[in-house]
Amino acid sequence: MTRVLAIARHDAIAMAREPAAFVTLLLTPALLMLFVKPLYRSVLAQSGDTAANGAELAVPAMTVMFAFFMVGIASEAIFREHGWRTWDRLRVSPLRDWELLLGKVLPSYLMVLVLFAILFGLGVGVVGFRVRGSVPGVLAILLVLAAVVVSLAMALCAVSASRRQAFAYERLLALVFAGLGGALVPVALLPDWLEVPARLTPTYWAMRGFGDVVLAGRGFPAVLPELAALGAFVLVFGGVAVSRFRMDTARQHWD
Amino acid sequence: MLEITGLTKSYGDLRVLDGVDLTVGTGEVVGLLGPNGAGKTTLVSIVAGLRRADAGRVVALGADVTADPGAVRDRLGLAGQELGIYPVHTVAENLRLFGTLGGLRGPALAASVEDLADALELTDLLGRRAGTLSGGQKRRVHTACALVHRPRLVLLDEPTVGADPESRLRLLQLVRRLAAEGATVLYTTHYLGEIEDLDARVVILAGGTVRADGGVAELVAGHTRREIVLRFDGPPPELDWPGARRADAALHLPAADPATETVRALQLLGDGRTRLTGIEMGRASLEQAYLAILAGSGSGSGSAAADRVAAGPSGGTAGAAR
Ligand SMILES: Nc1ncnc2c1ncn2[C@@H]1O[C@H](COP(=O)(O)OP(=O)(O)OP(=O)(O)O)[C@@H](O)[C@H]1O
Ligand SMILES: [Mg+2]
Repeated sequence: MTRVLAIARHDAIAMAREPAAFVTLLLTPALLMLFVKPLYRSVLAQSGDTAANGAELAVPAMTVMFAFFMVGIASEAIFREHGWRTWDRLRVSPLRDWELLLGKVLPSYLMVLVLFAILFGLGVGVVGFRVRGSVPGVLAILLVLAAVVVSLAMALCAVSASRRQAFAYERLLALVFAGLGGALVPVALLPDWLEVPARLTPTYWAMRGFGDVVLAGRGFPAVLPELAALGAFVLVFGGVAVSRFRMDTARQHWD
Repeated sequence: MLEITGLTKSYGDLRVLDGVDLTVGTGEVVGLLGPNGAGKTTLVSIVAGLRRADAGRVVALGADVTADPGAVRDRLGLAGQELGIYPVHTVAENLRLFGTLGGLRGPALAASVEDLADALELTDLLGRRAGTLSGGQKRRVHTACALVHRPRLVLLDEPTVGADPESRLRLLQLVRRLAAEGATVLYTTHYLGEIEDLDARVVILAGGTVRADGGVAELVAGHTRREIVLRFDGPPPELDWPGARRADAALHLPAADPATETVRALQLLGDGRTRLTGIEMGRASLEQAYLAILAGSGSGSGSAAADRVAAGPSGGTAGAAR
């Protein structure tokens, strides 16, 4: 475990020294929340919820959408070792494979949670976000969503030969998930035939869970199905990662 | 102790290693030499468990690495040919990471970092980010990262590339110390003078096999000829000397023991002595032996290649200078 922590700490230092990516990942959704809030307010008013200010949708939607742009945090953690040619050094060290991967996954997971916390913090403090139902329900969705993000990152690392390739997948999936899953436009407003493919995105389940506790004011048990669905994505992505990841692949960083 | 037997490795159709046998004893330094593409890095990577051999066996520190590549990782130090350090981390952070991964903690870790930083002159650089260092400084950090956990099997693949003369000397000193402390050291370089300084056993790899294996003195004696070079004002005189060769203004005389045979050569010269402008006693270098071994098929001192190489006056002087 000391070795896992050594790797995790080392990665945390790397993240702290190159914060530009995180600033972008924070600023963009934070600004978008403010911009789309009035839009969502009228959407909610039309559906009969005149008490809502729009932040109930804007904050979760932008967070969930940008959650999948945060996939790069974890894949970068793997690929930069290849770029720096330190991957092979770690492989010949006494680190076991699982220790190395856990040491990579842990700080990435925490980083995603930190970004979530800041976005929701801004949501509460600046955008006017209020939870009508179970706050633990909101937290649970965020915890599992972060696991979906990191497990997706590891799956993409497992099937990509370069960061460039992983990046292409990341962007594509992030947009498809956001569009289909109701983070751009609420699923209720999408054509009916998109309902089925929407259910194949983690975004759909996260947004549905937030709808239950934030807007509908329901209790924690209400989000259990959504948590289970998100958990299933973790299992699928994690399964791809574990079965396809090879330690001895000569991955490329950007070029 | 490192024992490699019958090691074979191909990349596609290219057979890089073709039955390599190589042993490095505990406390011994073996200099692994060979032309670019000979397979030195490939061999080192297989020993480190980074690549799989097609055939053959590698037993390192008593463990069969070919069967279980992870068996010696806690006692292995590899500084690969390609620089691998963390540029955004400081030198100290780089060293501490590999020390920690290698099992060192607390004061033992601090002491080892300090000791290596001292040995490789990194003390003043410990707080600097590794990415901001010069090429030679980075290479030293790279090497130090491989040694910080006190490995028993040390694999250094061209550790002196880009090193200034002083750093080179310090690294060689460190390598000697590691061996004296009982490490098994495999050292790859293209600077043959380093191998002479280390007085290491030499293994020359070429064409997929070991072409020569022996001490520096042994290889030099076996594959080069010593010679006396007499320089003249004008064309050199004829001399009755087996194997004598006349060049523009010099006479090259093969000699097993140049120091004493010079006296005989001068006696034989007689009146020719008046035009003599210089005498050089070429002590043949490992470089000459190396070139001779690669040029011939590793045959003895009588080979044409050995003659050609030993005959070069500049080569002879370079040997004497060392
Ligand atoms: N991953 C690889 N795939 C295909 N061929 C390779 C690979 N690695 C090395 N080779 C080839 O194997 C041969 C041996 O390479 P290697 O790097 O082991 O040589 P070397 O003795 O270390 O050379 P140098 O002195 O230049 O470092 C070369 O012909 C090289 O092109
Ligand atoms: Mg090499």
